[in-house]
Amino acid sequence: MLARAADTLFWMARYVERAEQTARVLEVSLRSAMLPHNQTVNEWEIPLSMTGTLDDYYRCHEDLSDGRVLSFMILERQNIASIRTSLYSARENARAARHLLTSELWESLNQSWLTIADMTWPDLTKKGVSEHLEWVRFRSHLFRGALQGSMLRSEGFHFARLGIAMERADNTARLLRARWDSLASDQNSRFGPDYYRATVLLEALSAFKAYREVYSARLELHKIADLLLLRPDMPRSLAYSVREIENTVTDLDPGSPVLREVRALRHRLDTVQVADLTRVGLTWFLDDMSTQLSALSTSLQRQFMMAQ
Amino acid sequence: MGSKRAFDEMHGSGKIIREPYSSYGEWLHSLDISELGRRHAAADVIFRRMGITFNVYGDEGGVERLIPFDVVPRILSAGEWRTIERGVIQRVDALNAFLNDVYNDQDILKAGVVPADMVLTNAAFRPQMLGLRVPQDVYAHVSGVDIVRVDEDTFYVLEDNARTPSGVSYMLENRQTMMRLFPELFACHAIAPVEHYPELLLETLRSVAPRGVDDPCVVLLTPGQYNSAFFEHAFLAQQMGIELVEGQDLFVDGGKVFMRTTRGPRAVHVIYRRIDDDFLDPLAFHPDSMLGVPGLLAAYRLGTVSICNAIGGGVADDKAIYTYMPDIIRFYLGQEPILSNVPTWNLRRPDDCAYVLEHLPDLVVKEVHGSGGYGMLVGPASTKAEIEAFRQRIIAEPARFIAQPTLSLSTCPTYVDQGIAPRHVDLRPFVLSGRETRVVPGGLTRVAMREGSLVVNSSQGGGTKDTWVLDDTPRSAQGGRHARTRR
Repeated sequence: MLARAADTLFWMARYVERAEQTARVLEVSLRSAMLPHNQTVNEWEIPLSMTGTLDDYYRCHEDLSDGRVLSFMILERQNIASIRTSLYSARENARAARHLLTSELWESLNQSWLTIADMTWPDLTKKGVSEHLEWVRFRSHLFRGALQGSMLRSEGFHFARLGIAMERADNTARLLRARWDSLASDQNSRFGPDYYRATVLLEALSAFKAYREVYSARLELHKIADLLLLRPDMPRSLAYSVREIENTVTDLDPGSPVLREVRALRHRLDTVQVADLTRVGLTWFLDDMSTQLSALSTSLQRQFMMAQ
Repeated sequence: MGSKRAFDEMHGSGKIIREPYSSYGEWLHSLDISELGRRHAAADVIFRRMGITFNVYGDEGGVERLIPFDVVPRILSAGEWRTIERGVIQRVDALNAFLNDVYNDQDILKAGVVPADMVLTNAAFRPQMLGLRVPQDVYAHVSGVDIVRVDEDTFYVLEDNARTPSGVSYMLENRQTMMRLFPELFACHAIAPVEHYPELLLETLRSVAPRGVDDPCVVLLTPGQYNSAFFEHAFLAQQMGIELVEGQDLFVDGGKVFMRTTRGPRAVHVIYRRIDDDFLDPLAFHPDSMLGVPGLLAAYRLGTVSICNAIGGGVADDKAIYTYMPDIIRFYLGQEPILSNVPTWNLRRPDDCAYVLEHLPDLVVKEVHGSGGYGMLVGPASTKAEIEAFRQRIIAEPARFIAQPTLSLSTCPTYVDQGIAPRHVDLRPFVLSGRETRVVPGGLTRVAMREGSLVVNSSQGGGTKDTWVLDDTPRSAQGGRHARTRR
């Protein structure tokens, strides 16, 4: 297929996944903000700093407030990281490649965009912020369902799959990075990690039940890290996402030179022990992961998606 | 226009329902108008959800608009269609012969049938095409011939479009939508299919591949997703199963054209381009065009790639050349034209000019090279001062103008806010020329949604209708064709 078309499908899927992840991040904030404060950092700063839009926010607003941050992260046209912008970009990429999509896939995205295109803050509060965030998550499920259930397994499908996996790997690393300190600060307290805060995080990543099923034990910090980073059977974990990248690249081109890079990354996740991670500093590890994922994305784009 | 009531496709000039509409009329009569309204609204939802839109430049890289779709079809009898079909094929064959001639032997210019300066100094004439033989001698592979009707027996060709005519996706989507909304009508009418248009188009494009290429790679070249007709480009590429490319996806190397794929360069043999001549190749035409492919013209001249429609075809659909179409048909085909031109006065002829100057308040005067209604005088709708000002422009440069009577376009019943009312329509059948010249039975019917308006352009609020050509072959002989319509 055309290199440009591959790039378009890759980014279409990344933006849908990004919209979903932003919705999850905001759910964590929404629920954490209702818990007693134990943090030096304002809860509402986290979604902004995670997405690198703190400065942009302060250019438009003087102070942090839940409503302003939610509006900025959900509806703001000027915010490159808002859910609206992600869905707009997803839909614009889909429109450019619509001849390569099944009508179900195209219509699911088009419908998502049309629903929020003119949404205002009063519309949003009337619908309910949580309800809306949940809706965003479900639209992303629908997108993946239409992708899985209707697309021919040709290159186009694999590039969309690749986009989802790349974005998810990156986002899980970022979310854990942003939340780790506040979870760890409770480490020395009598009750272990803050139960509610940890629950909120796991639930927002659809991982709470998985935690119970896998560990059938009380919440422990290193087990949370194990689940979200290293478990290859947890579909939002870093290890799962990296495997998915490896499988997709193999499907695209078993002789791809980029596979060496992917395998090195996967090998690291396979062999590292969670105890080592918490000892050397998880945040350092996550920063390093983010850097490597970004280098990997560049390599993939260079091999498959860029004009010579 | 004027006081005389226009010919109506359903009712003719009176109250009796015309034959092609007899069965539809009965059905419509038995239907509650609110039911029609309900299905009309359903059509709107389908179009919006599927994103069948055209772009209007604006915020967020272009605002998408729906073209109003009307649920009442325009119906043509098999006999009417046969005339139209023969007429447009004849016309396009003549047009291709003309293009082949003016870029090679120029017999028609030598014979003085068409004034040489009108062709050679025409802005759309491309000297780069001189002496180049194109496959099958075909230049206009896809043409849209705009036809209007004024009475039971008279169809006029209003305009030929031999560059990059658009609208065929609406012909196809309108049919799909009608079949979803009114399955019962397709069960009781024998409607000739149009769905095979993309197959025929691909066959046509493949048939003009460079010599020696057995399995040509065909692509559709679009200016990109912000072009007003992008939906159509994507739709056709998808229907034909070919790549939808932009200029940046193509490059020329060693006199051959390639596209950049995920697996490296791949040779391209036929380019169905939906961008204008001027933007095709920055080395040959507009130097600052970002849409084109540097070196494309050189590759084309080497014969390694075919471009559809060919470069330079615009010289044949010019408004001044239009006035010579009947002579062009006679010159190349030795036949009388089956479809007439709108009676047109060519102001470069002194007699015509004198007549027009005397009758300006009754006529439409158009600039030869103008398009889209720019630089036009509509006599009956203009003030004395406007007419006088225009008269001075004509006297200064008569050769720049042509004039036509104001036509009373036929009307067709149309669903509007007040119920069903007559609205003026035209018709654009799409003619394909490759190894042979063909046209699918139907076309795009455009309708002026405002009462009394004769302007059918989508940019001016015009809408579209499904166009039915009734199939009069005996039922037993229809077999598979009919099954296709009912799908």
